[in-house]
Amino acid sequence: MPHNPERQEGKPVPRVRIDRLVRSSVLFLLLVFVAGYFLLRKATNFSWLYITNSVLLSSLFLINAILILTLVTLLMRNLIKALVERRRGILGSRFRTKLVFSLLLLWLIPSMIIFWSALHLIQRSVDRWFNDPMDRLTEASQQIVDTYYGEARKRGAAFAREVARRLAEQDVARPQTRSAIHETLGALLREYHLDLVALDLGHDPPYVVVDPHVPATGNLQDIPANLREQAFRGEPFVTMSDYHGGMLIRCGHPVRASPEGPARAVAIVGVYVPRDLARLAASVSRSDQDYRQMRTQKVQIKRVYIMVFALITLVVLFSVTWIGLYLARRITDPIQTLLHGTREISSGNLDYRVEVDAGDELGILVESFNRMTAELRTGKDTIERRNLELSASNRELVERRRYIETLLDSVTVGVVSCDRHGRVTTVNRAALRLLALEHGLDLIGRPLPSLLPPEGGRAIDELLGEAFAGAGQSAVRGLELSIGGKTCMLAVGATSLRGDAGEPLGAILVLEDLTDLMRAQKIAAWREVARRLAHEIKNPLTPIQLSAERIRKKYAEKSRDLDEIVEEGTAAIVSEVATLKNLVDEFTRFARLPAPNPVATSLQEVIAASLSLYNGVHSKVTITPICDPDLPSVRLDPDQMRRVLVNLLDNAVEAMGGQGSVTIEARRDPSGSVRLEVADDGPGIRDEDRDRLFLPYFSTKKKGTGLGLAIVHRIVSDHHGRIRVENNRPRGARFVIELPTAAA
Amino acid sequence: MKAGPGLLTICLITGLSAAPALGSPAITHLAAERNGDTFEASCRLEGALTPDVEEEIAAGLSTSIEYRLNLYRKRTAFFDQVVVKHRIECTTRYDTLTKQYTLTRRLDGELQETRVTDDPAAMRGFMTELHGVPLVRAEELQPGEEYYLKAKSNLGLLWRFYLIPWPRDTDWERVDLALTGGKGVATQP
Repeated sequence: MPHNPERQEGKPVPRVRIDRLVRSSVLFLLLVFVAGYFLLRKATNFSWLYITNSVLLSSLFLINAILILTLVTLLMRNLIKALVERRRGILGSRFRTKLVFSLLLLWLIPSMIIFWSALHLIQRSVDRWFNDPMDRLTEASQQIVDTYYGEARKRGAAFAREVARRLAEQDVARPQTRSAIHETLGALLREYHLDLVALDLGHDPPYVVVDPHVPATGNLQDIPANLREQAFRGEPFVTMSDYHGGMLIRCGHPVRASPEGPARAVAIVGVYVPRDLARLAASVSRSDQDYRQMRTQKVQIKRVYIMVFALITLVVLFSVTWIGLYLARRITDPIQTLLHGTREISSGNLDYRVEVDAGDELGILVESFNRMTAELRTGKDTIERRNLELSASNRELVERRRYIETLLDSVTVGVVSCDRHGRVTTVNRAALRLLALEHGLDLIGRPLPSLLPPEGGRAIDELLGEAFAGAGQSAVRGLELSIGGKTCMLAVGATSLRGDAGEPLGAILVLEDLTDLMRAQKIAAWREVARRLAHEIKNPLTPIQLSAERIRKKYAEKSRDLDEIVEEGTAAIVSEVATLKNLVDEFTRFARLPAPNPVATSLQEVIAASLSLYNGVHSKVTITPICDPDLPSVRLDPDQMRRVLVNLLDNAVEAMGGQGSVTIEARRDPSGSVRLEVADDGPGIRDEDRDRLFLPYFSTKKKGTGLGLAIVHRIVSDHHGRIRVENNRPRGARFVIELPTAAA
Repeated sequence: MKAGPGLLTICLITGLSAAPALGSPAITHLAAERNGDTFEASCRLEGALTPDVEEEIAAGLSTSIEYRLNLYRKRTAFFDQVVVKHRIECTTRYDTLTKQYTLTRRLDGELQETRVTDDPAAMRGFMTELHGVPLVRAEELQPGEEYYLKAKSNLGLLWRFYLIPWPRDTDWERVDLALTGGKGVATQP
């Protein structure tokens, strides 16, 4: 089951969260810039009251303070975190810190330059707004308006004083009808060409008379109560108020019965400023007011700009820091996850998969890592499967080896395996027994010939050589070893072991104890010899006995032909005795066959010497010698070997009935031995005679002694060679003699 | 170098805490008088109308001064009980065309008085003097208890270190309430 490191440890920030943070920050920045834009728009519209509002400034200060604190906290947190992570050896902390502070420094310098430049520009710009010419211009404009309105106010005040005097003279405060008061006021209006005349008696609504060219009085505002009270206290007042788009200047003056008396009423005179003029004056005054307000807020304006730019700078720095952290995380998180993955992999968790959504080179790296992990998983599975298979196979091999060892230990045949250098690799119990080797002796790795007596060692060495040279064919040899004071006869077969390419890997030797068999065979052979010898001796004895009895009978009868009978009888007895003597001589010769005296001999010469005996003897027999020109000289007893060839040639000529062809071929065998073959085209040898062919006194001939081939076998064996008989092609028999290279 | 941040912090705190004293506005002549069956408060605000403020007013900016009057009943072993809390806001707006000050006074948000004057002295008096502000009816006070009046004024913001807004308030001024009909007057600052 694949692991998810993000869910497991929560170290790497999920990308969804990061994207949300990025979107939020972008939105926040957008809002800040939009707010800044509208703030600047407001600033250009000179609505400074809004900008210089304390709440706004406080809000800006608060935002800036929060941003500074957040920025400092963020940086400090990052620094502390980096220090802690560095101490813990977490990968990427150093890189993250460097990236964040590099970006911050990279942006801090230009941001501060821009910030200070902007501040300087603002200072100069704001100072330029409020220069002397502008002051003088607005002041002059306002003075015009002030002068105009001042004159109007003065004129109104003067008329109010005059109207108040006239009304006091007419004792207008006395009780009289309303129409009378209106008439009096109307007369004064007309007399002084006033726009409005009013009389406030204090207890009723003021009596008001308005000039016809002045708009109706429907919207005439009440005079503030404090001014009326002021007037009744004896102090004149002037008040101005909007009136139908124009400006109405109302001047109040107390009406006293005497100069020091209390005010009994208030005379009010109005001067109406027409709409166009009033609007123009109001516009000038408003401009002057705005300008003066701005001038008083000059410091605040600078402060606002500074705070706005500080806010922008801080937002930029904050964003840069945040982006730096984001970028660093985008790089370090996959690396941390990869590192975690490598630790998981090294701990053996090959099912671990790194799940990082990275689209760049890191994504390729992560993908390669996951692919590598999957391949490792597959490889491990394969190795485990192979390991299981190998374990099973090994177990099977061990069982098979034990079985073979048991089998080998159970068989009575000795089995020894050697490597290509003749060193023992395995040996079974029977072999140890046959070779009289100690069971506990460490034989493995030692050369087999060195473990045997010298003559046996040489024979084994030769046999191994034959086996290695024999291209898979077995080399068999009988060995007579004197081991432990006993002489034993072993049949040793060596077979080379070869690899698939045919290279020699070693050899396996099979040793069979033939001592008892040979002894039994010898006993049987000698029994046969004795039987045949008795038979051969008995054959002449019968004629001798018959001849002697015939002579004795004739002598007793005193037969006339006694002389003839004696002559014939003695002749027969002498002949048979001669036969007996010949028989005994041959046997003696076989029995006394001397040990060979090997010398370096040319086999061609031996063949030639043998063939010379037959020159002109058998006219109808063709003897063809074929000798390998590269045939080396051979160590053998030339006289005995010549006798072997003569015996074989005699047999061949006799078998062919004195007519036919004989081939003598000598060549080097691929195994290294010398091969000598004598082939004829006679009737051949029956299969049932082949096993007994080399036994003494076995003969298929009527006049044979049966010792010829036995002597041949004896001589060849004495030369450590082998002889066998095969069918010749197309007819006849072929005697094959193999002489080992050691003897050659 | 190590003492740098600490020193900076001390200077900042000292500078900020000393900020109110630099403007020196203060409530004076705080008094709580019994007028008939009602206790009324009066006070003056000194140092509020600085030249800068005067200039702002003359430029037509609406300027306000807020007074806070709190009447407490003393309690032992516990926080004093607030009997009455009043917030008086005095506002002036100068019309450069008519050369008149429009003065308004609100008590706890309700308009109490509107005046128009062209006299700067009258405007100053209106903004910095309170007279006859009703606090509480005498019958609402418990005999034998001790009461006192605290007053302060909020004058908006001033700026420390050019960029740090700081409330430009006066300290709380206190005067005991004389239930016997006498006049309680705060000590002069």
